[in-house]
Amino acid sequence: MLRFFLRRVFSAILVVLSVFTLSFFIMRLAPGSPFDSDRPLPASVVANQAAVTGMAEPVVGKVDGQVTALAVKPGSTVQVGDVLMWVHQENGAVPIRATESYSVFRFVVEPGNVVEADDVVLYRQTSLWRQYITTLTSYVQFDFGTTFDSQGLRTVRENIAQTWPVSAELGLYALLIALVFGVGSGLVAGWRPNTMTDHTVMTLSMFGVSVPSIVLGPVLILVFIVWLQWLPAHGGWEVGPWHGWGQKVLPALTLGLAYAAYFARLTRGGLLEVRRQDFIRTARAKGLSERRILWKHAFRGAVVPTVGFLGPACAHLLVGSVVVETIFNIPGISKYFVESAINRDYPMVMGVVVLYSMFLVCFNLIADLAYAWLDPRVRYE
Amino acid sequence: MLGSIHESVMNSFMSTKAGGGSNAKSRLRFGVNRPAKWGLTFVATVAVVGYSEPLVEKYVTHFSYDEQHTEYRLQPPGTRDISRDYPAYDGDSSHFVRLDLDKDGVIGGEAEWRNLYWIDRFFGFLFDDYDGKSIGEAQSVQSSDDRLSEDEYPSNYDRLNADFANEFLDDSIARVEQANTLGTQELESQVHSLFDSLKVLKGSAFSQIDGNGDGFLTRNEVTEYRRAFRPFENRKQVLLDMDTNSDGVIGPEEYLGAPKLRTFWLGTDHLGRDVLTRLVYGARISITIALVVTLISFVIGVLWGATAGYVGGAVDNIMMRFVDVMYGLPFLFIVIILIVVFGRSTMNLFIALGAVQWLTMARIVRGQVVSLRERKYVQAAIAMGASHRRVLFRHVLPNALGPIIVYTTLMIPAVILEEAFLSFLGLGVQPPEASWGLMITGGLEFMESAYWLVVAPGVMLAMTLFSMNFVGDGLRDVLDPQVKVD
Repeated sequence: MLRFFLRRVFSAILVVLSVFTLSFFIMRLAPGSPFDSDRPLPASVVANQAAVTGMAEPVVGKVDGQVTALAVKPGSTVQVGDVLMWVHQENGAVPIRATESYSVFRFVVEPGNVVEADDVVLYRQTSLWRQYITTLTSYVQFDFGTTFDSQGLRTVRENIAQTWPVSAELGLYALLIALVFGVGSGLVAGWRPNTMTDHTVMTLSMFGVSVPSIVLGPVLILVFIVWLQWLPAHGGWEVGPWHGWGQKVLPALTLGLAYAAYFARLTRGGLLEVRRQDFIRTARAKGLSERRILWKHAFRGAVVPTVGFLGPACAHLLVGSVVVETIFNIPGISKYFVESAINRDYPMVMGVVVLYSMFLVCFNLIADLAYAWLDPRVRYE
Repeated sequence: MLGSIHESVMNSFMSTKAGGGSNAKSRLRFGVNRPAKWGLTFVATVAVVGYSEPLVEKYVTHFSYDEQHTEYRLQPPGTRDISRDYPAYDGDSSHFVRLDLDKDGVIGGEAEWRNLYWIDRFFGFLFDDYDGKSIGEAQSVQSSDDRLSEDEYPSNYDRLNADFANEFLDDSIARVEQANTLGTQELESQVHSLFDSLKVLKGSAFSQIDGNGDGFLTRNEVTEYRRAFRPFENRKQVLLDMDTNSDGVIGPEEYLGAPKLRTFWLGTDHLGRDVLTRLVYGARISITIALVVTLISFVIGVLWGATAGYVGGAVDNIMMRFVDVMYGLPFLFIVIILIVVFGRSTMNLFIALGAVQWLTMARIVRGQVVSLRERKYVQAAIAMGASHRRVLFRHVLPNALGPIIVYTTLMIPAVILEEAFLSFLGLGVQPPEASWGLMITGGLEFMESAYWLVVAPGVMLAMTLFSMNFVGDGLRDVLDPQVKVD
């Protein structure tokens, strides 16, 4: 048991690490950079931003005097001993040379500026490998860095702490709806297969699977907010179970009903599987009541497939659905995530991706353990 | 490990219909599975209509893809459009009475031609100029609600559209004899009486135009009323079309009727485009993407899964761990990154969706191959010295085909849905191209006044997914070995 658990934890850590590595390199190697801004910012501001997020480091000139000319362009690679810029002193022009080979990110001085010996003259690009190590180290300490779009003023953790509770609360309600409606109707349908009830539930669940949230959400808004006016106009979200439930009902339903449909199908399938087993026949033969057979004997086996799906479902729901958050204008994390990805806010995107994959492996682990608890035939291997 | 749960979930999910066990219903042939048959019919119809639309749009939707009618913005389903360059006539001669202004039994004569022309012009600007902007005698400003109340309807000459009034004045001066000898007062009264003879002001026209008598004119009612006058914008064309005996006037026996109107069966969007036409073009995009992406992920998934499962050992381990890691990345993340990196285009949408869709396929194929590899007939083939390729493609894969086909069918609605999601987020199909997801996003903004913008593509999307899921279910009943057991 412990051995199994440790092995699973180890493999989970490996998966999170791989996800981290993969997403890190995909984003850094992608063409274009977050600094390709529409409005040109001063080089020093850009360089400072890059330095805060660990993508660039300052280089000190070690020569004083007035800069007369820059010898290389930003973005070019210099070797040891290459001339970076010329500085005017009493005895003529003196070169500032590179002491290592690196790629120039931005110059923070211009011809005409006077520099002191210990002034920073340029920022060099930090090598990808070093960026990776630094980022990984800070991630291990749960420091996710600062975001780009706030000019380095807000940390990723602050952003996540602000937006994630919203998504998590929404996901929790959706999960609740999905479990109650899904498992309930699945049991009802599976206990009497091929009856009218069964067919109705299955058709409804087929609707639930087929009607996507981008259709269900607007239709719910149309019916309950625009036409019937039972609920207030959507938008905004107050965290906490007792605030503004009028604004939470529809998003939770939109998100939850699709999962309810999946759960109903899974539970029904599981129950059908169990109904055929010998121990149910035995229970019947003993003359137990139907209710007792269902709850005491069949239920545990019936929810096994549901529990397996619960892992990824929890991870998805808790990170929120970007579609639902967009439709209902909810300031949740996944809406923010998509915006960050489009704006190439690397630290923010990385933070959310790693958070998501941690959720995923954790819930899968829990689901695995629950599996074995529900079905004694499953052995830890 | 991680993969095992997914597979078991997938299997139990895919075998939900296995239920009933002994019941004959679980062994339906596809042909007698009615929902599946209807689903297939629906999807096939959508595909056929979608792909043949450019050829048959003249007969089916009557609007072309890039047609915009700015005067018909956000009109409800059933609105009829008057603007058509070469009208077909509806054969109804009852409009003749309306056109014969001087009641002399024929349409003709200089004054009548001109009056018909000006009546058409008047109705051309009527709606946009008076709805919500006019101040009636009650001096009440009404909001633009896309219908004209009696207060809003113009009641005298002084409150006409300025362009119209100027042109009408010029034309009238040309018609009034010895205009330059008349004083301003007299000229004005002449022009007014000319205008009154058009009989389009409130007292004489309102109740005639108000077809359903509810006291409000809708754009549709005005269009319907104007229809008869519409051809008289071009007098020569009218004569060419109708004057069969070449006497310069049109008698009741020569009159062909009013031009036929085209209908916006599902209304128009905020740019005045026909929703039905865009829906049909959206079907093309959705189905193309679904087929291409399914094909891509089918090839990658089968090759990846079969290799991993067949070779086994460390290769299997590494290949499937890779799939696990890809599963750990949020689907949206991969797609967004790919699309942001390679740019937003339909082609990149194919690549991005194909890049994530093959994962589950690989797992299913691997699971099948692993179990089939140990079968006696496979072992026998290996013992007989068959090459790996032969064993894999002749013995293993054909026997794994059932679940593969079933999952492929279920992948099609998933891809359609993902395309809609991405287009919804602005990352998929780019405007002005039409896609169901994009149409829903565009419609959200106007949902309160124009529900059809969301409902039409939404219903279409849901129906297609519904149908495809039924087809998948039906195929599973036929092909999945788990169903055939017991």
